[in-house]
Amino acid sequence: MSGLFESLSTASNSLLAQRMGLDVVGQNIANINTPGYSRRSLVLAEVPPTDSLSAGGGVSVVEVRALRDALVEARLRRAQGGTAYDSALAEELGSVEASIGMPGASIDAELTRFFDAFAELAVDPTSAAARDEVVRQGSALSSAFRSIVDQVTNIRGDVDTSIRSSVDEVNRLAAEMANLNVEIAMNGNNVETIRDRQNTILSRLGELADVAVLARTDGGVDVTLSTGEPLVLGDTAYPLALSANGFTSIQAGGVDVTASLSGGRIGGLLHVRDTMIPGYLGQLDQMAFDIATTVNGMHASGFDAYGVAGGNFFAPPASVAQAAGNLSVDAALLADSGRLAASATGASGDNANARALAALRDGPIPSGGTRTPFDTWGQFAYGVGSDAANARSAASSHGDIVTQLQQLRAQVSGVSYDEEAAHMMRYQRAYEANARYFQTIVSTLDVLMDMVQ
Amino acid sequence: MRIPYDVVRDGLSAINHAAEEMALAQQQVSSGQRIMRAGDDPLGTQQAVLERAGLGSTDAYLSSRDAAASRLASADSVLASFGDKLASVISTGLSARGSSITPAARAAASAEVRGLRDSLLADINSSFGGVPLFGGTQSNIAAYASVNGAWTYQGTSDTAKIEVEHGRLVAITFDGQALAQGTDTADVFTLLDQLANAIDIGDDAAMAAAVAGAERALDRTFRMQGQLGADERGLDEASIRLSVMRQAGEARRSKIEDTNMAEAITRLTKAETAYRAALGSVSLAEKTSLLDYLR
Repeated sequence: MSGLFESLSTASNSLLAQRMGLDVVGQNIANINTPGYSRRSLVLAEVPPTDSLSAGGGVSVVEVRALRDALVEARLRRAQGGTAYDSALAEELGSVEASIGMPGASIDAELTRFFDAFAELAVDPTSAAARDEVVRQGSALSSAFRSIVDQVTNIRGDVDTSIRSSVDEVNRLAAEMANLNVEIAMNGNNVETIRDRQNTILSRLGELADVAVLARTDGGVDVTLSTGEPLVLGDTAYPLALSANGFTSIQAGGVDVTASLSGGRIGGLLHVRDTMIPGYLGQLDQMAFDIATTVNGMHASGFDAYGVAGGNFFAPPASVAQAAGNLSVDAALLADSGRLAASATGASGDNANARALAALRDGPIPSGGTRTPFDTWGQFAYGVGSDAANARSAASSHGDIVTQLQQLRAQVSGVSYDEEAAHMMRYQRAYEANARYFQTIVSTLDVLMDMVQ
Repeated sequence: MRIPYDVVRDGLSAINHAAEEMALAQQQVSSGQRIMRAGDDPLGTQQAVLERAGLGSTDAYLSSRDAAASRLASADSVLASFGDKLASVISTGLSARGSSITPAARAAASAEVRGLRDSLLADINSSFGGVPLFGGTQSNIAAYASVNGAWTYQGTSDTAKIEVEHGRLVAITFDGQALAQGTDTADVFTLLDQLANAIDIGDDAAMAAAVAGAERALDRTFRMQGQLGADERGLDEASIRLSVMRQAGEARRSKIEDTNMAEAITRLTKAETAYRAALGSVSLAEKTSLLDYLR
């Protein structure tokens, strides 16, 4: 049978428990905007009676629990990785897309002006101004190719810089995660704040790269790349190494893993840098090579204003590789437009070769191919636009999935004003009632003490 | 089910989405461009490149057509003058025949024939923009000149041609020898020299032979004029076809690239409404919570 002093103790414990409830509400409201915060919930338990004539010992605080759903967290990490991959593609391809320009304001316009100049020359093959114009338009076309190649190459360099900084961030996060593993192991059960930070880091790591997370028995986590190379094992971080020269290659434990990193932001950036941009540059090179060799071949079959057999119009590209970046009008022609081979016979007024060169606009430029130069450029613009649009669309749909998963996560871990307000009222009322109960016991004790006097 | 409202996740993303739609519609309305980047409509971009290439090709043909038309008009005028002078030569040659012609009249007639010869020479050596019209593909020398006392054609039988529409070539210079000599053994200038000499000595037979040669030259002139007239008519027809093609191509290009204003303005209005609704819903959702009822 319990006495009045035990009742005071019961009331006191209860007051403490309700105050802790208010503390939890305060903590939740304070962190409503903290990224990665999981709402806390106070777990109370009844204190059982000590004998059959006792009502019980009141209430005790079991724990302050953080509410998380590991499955949702893992799915969210994977979805965020997919979104980051597509977003990286969309961002970088948006830049490539901008650099190729719009119809009528890019290579196609330069091609039109180039062939127009040959058509004008065909009208008046003896005109020095018409010859100069052809050379000028040839230079402008070369310059346009070089400019696009420069821009796309610069974008490739920027992507490489982004890869470096992303890998640096992975290494920093891995080091922090290793430290958190130590703290979790040392702090036992009182680790919810550390776990929030752990989840935030895992989420960011999942955005950056395709990682696998394995829970440890001590509460920490091991993190590896999806290909198995470790990033964090217990208290040890295994930083990724970057090559010093040229485009970044990434090593894990001395093994080059660049080609196998296919997920997250880093995977997206690597795909743009190593596959998509080289593909675009290759197409530009092929186009420039075909134009240069076809125009050169036809130009060489004619005769210049001095009746001499025509030379090269463009400086002959050594190979397809880098043909666009090095495209230029032949130096001899630049110095003297009289060397332009407009005539097919050697007669000064003959225009047949200029006419044939002008007609290349509607002819299959690539050797053995069937496409005109405009078909080829249109196909290239379509390819870049289509890749960029697909990346934007994929990023958007993956973004929707992430939003849905974030909502799912919020259903478990998110803080709600309404809910916290309800809890606040509940704990406040309980605190008031327990205080009143405490006063009642004190009054009862006073009565008892008065009887003694 | 707990549905905690997150102003950033739920509210701001809705506002951003609506704002993006509105910005895009605004951009399309203000620029008049439906395609702002290749990814807006990749297939449309490809088609626009091809339509613009087609327009460029048509413009080049139109420009060539104009250049050809001015040269043909100039050549036509020269041929008309050439024909008139040949007719005068024939008339003079015919009137100088017979025994009743006085020596003074013969001298005047032969002088007239020589003057017409020089005038015909000037005609056949006409140039356009510094390029001889009747020198074939030879551009830096007169079509006909007296070389060592003999009239000599210095041009070529080839002619310069330009493409005025796909696959259609029109000559913009002409073979002067085909006009002045044709299949005859002597050119018209040699014939006129022979005619003048025949008039001087009263050789009717030689005069008749020279006049016959001049008549054949006149026939050749008429035939060349006829061919040239046909080419000019062809140019006019080509011009009409090219203009129609250009209009159709421009319409297709515009349909691909340009904003349909009615549609874009409707979309802008819709996007603006969605934007306001997003703003309103966020402010409404943020406005009320149970905390407001705590006293």
